Amino acid sequence: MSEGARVDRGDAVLSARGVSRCFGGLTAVCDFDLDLFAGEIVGLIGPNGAGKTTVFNLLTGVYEPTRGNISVRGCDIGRMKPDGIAGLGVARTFQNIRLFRDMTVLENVKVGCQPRKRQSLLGALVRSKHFRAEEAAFEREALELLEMMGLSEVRGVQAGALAYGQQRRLEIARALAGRPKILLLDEPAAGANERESADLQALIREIRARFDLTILVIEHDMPFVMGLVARLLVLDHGETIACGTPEEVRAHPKVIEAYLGQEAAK
Amino acid sequence: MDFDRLLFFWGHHFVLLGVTVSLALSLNLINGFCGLFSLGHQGFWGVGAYMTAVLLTVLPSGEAGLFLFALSFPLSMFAAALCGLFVGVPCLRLRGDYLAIATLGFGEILRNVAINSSFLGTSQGLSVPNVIRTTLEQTFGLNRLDARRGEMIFYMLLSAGVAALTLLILRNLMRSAHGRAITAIRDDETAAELLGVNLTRYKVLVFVLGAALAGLAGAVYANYQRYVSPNQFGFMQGVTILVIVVMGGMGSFTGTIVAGVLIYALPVLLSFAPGTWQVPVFYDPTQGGDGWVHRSPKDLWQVFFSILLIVVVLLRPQGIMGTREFSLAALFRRKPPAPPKEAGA
Repeated sequence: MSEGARVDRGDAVLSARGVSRCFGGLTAVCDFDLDLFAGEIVGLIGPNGAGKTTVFNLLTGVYEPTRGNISVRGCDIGRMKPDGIAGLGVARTFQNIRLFRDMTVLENVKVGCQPRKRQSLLGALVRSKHFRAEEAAFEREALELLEMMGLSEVRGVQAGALAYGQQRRLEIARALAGRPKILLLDEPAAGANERESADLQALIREIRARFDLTILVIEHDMPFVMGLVARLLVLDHGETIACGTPEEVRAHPKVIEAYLGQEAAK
Repeated sequence: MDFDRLLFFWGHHFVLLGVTVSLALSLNLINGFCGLFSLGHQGFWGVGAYMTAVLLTVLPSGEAGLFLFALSFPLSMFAAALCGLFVGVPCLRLRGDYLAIATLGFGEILRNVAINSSFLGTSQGLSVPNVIRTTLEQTFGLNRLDARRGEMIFYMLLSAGVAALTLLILRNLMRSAHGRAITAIRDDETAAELLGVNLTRYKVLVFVLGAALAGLAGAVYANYQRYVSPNQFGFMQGVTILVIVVMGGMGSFTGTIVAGVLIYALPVLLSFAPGTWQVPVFYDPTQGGDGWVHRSPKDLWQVFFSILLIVVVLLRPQGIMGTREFSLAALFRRKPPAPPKEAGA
């Protein structure tokens, strides 16, 4: 691991040690190590089928690791279910968008408030004062998030009817509604043109600062990810083949061979 | 005199309609809003009804009759909720068709338990004492006719009240963060879980609450009919409730009410058809005449029922209301503007 990329900034908010995941005879992720420090943006790149989304699924509890440990803010999440991990402050978006298509845009964001809800069932049934206050707060915050994502205009529209780029931004808004500490973005710039990905870069920096986030991002769009992150991990066939600053990674022979091709090496 | 005939005829149907709508509303929570396909709702209904029957027949009534009557409602809810918990916890590991078959099995098991246990009256069923009429006659000193009128009016109010309470509970539940979690499970289980929704907890909650409300409807039914038997809670009763939910819209309470009234009223209204109305049903030359066999529309309600169902499924597969709710306010509101298209997308 490169020295430049591993400056000690106190305890990691998320760390994975020797994490592997096998499906039958196939090892999708092998001996994966990661430390995320508070406030940084880290990229995860690699060719198709390298195991990037599997890493996200391991970090969010969709899969249990076959071997290894993952801890989030000091808490071992090895046997925790996804909802418990979401409660620890981990939120994500999906490569293949998974919005609640029949709900409105606003309702989608409000579903994202789940990890923070404190209202009791009885309180909801009798519309208690605390319940009404919490619902009003969720509504207000959801509207603020939509404003920030530029989705205020379409808040009453069914999520499935939105344009592709809007759906991606809505997924981010929904993830942010739970006030996470760690945000995992799975190809946020997929399908975006040059101007849109520049806007998205600015947006991701803005939400990191505003919500005090640590971000791990999977991305295929090289200029996008190189311009956004402080350091990068490169996966190929489930193994971490390189790790370091964008410049270091770009120059790494294994990366050039596996992923970037000859042109990027120039 | 004429008033009495109207009261007893329409009152009877009003009470049973209230029970049917209550049942369909609670089934809509399970099947429509949470997307768990249950075919065992008649079982929970039956548990509530039998709980009431057992409570009122086994224990000595007399002076305590009214107290036991009042107790029968919460106790029936509790018994049905307990059944919901016992069925729900193991069954909710199953999805889709498998859950439907398991819950169907549960309903049939309960029915067979009732048929084979002498404590529950076997296939003869149990008679329930008429607490309300006894109270009206003995405590309030009404004559027999007035007591019958009073009883009918009481049950009409009770049935409507229970349906309204069911609607209020379910509406308030769905308009909360808990309700959003339930809808999220239906729309995308994986995404919901990753957003912090505890799947097991909410599925069990939905099952238990749905069962408890079905049990409450069962208590009203048993007290009103004053008789419970296994065949009142059979599979076909469950299917009728399910058809109401599907026809009204999976995920619309007002749709359930509309469809409940339609489906309940269809055979009642057809029964008014004059005896001279004859519909040719099928052609059989051996029967003499022109060969056509005629039937009265009264006997054909199941045919009309099927036609209605086919029409709804063809024209509005999402049900009469879909997932929308009917509200007077929405009628007068103007349509929201179409979503602006995103540039470059």
